[in-house]
Amino acid sequence: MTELVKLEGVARYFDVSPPWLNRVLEGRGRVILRAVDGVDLTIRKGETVGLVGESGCGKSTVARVIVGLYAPTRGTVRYDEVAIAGEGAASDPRALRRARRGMQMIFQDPYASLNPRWRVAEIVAEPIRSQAPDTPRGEIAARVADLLCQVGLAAADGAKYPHQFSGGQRQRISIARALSTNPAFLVCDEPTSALDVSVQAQVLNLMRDLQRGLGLTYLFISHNLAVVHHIADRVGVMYLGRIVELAPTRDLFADPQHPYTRMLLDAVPDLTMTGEARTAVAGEVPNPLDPPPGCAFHPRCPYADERCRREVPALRAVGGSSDGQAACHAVEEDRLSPRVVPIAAR
Amino acid sequence: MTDVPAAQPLLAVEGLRVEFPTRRGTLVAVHDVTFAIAPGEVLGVVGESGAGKSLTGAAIIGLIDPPGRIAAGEIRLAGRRIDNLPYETMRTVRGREIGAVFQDPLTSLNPLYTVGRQLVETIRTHLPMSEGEARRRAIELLEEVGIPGAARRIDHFPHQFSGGMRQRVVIALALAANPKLIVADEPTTALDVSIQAQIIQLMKRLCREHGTAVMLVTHDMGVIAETAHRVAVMYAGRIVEIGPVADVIHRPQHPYTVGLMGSIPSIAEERERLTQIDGSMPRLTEIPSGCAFHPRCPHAVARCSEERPGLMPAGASQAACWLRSAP
Repeated sequence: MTELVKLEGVARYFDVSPPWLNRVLEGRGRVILRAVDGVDLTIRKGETVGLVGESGCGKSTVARVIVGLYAPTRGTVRYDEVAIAGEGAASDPRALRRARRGMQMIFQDPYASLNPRWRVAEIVAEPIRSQAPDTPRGEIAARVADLLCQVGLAAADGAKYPHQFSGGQRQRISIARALSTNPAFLVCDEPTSALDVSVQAQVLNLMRDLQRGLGLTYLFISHNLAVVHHIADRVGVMYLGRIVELAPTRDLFADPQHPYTRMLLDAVPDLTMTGEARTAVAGEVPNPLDPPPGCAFHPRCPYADERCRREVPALRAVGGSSDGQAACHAVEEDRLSPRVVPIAAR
Repeated sequence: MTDVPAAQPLLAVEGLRVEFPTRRGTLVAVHDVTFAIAPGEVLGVVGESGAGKSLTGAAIIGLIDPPGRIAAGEIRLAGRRIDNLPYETMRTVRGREIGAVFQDPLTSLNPLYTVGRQLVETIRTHLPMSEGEARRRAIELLEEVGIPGAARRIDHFPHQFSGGMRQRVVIALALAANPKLIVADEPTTALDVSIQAQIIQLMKRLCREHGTAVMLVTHDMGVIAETAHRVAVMYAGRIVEIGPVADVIHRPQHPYTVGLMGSIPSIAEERERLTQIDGSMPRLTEIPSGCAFHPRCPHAVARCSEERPGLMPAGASQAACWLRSAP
């Protein structure tokens, strides 16, 4: 498979310092939030890469850097081999526009991401109007009707306003809007988190059908491990701005390597675990303004040693047949005890 | 876990009906809901948005926002009716006998007072204790819910706590007067998975140790699966199925429960497609006749649209579905 999107050492910092006057009067320094701190990720054509992690781990920031809503502080974003953002970004605006046209984003909140004063047909047509302004009206209308049918709505729904639809239907409208310019790559930031489970199932099934039919590539961001397990081909686990483990979905869930991944999997409440006691997870995510030195997970990690407290581990291929990678000294030095019950075998 | 002594129920809800009068007529949000919770039992109440699960919880703690009101039915706590108590009496019941835990820990705490002051106030409202005694009890409570350095943390403000720690403080508040029942409405929904696991564990331990019964309202079946003894599934304001947790999850009887269970992705199995229930929950203004689920039900027959099924025995559970009625 060919690479479609490639992140090379992408970082995004935010300056969250107090105002200048406060800094001077109170003698405080600048405060930098490292939301994403060195992420390497390759997304191949036609696959779904899931990105999971807890709040504040930087997964949404990665999504926004890829689609260009944030500029990376360091590193390069490549789309179809064109560097579209960061160091060495292409300067030819036409090449950039062509690359940008290939990607679209679906947001979490279907109530906030649709303009309440626009009719659905206008919402869905807007990307076409902005990217190909000379498209004849009739053609746009036909395309909009076609898109609405594709996402399971009726062509006549174009005349309605967003408030006339339920959450799940609104998310279908968001998907239709994202598909209107024939993108190859969709960045989906928690697309089903605001939906009820039965509606979530409808949207997930729809997304899978669309992927099959149109050959789409997805970056699917979610905090829900079960949803990512269902939809993704490969999964990246993020912790405090870095990817700590990246592996094919089956391997990641059956044989997680990084202690943080193991902890997350143990914490997921699952239907199969009726009444079972589970291993409690110690600790909380540290303050991202002041992350621990070395491996950011070391204060919660049962395997942490001197090296973990000092040296930041890099994402390295881990043993076995898979093309999984983990950023962990303990995994690299083979200090981990084998996991007692793999989730998939329960 | 499913064996709970069948004693006299601690909480008995009988034919509960919650209405909202509107300009266009009365909306019935909770319809003829009947269930009981035994002492020490955890009853999970699940359903999708608008199913009436949170309102049922709010009715029990007497916190339905006007113009909503309990229009019919009875709520009994240890044999005593609590649905028709005057406001001030209900205030002492709530807190002393029923504790409440809500979804968002930040809105349940007053941001202007230290958590210690809020705990001491709650304790002294319900228990005859001096300031000093109440403070010692507050520290004990914070220790019990797993807040490290409780003696120091008691003088901190809510914003100085993380989300998970705040929810622990809220649980400590709910436990302050040692209530017999806790109504928890989506207590873990706003939390990250690893913190969610800690809170679930904590609630399970506290219930076991104190013999507190819990009504756990959530949309997350995973949380229910791990915590509850019995589950009630709500749809469009009614209970459509109620039974032991393992039966409802693994041998669901009502077609809605079957669809709901099938639509939940699981990390324990791989499926090409999730079961989907087409359509969505009806609005309160347009509840279908007969069984409210019949327009979405794959097995609906003529009777389903004409006559409403009541709860009837189905396997180890009870389900409100004509398919389960004896032929």
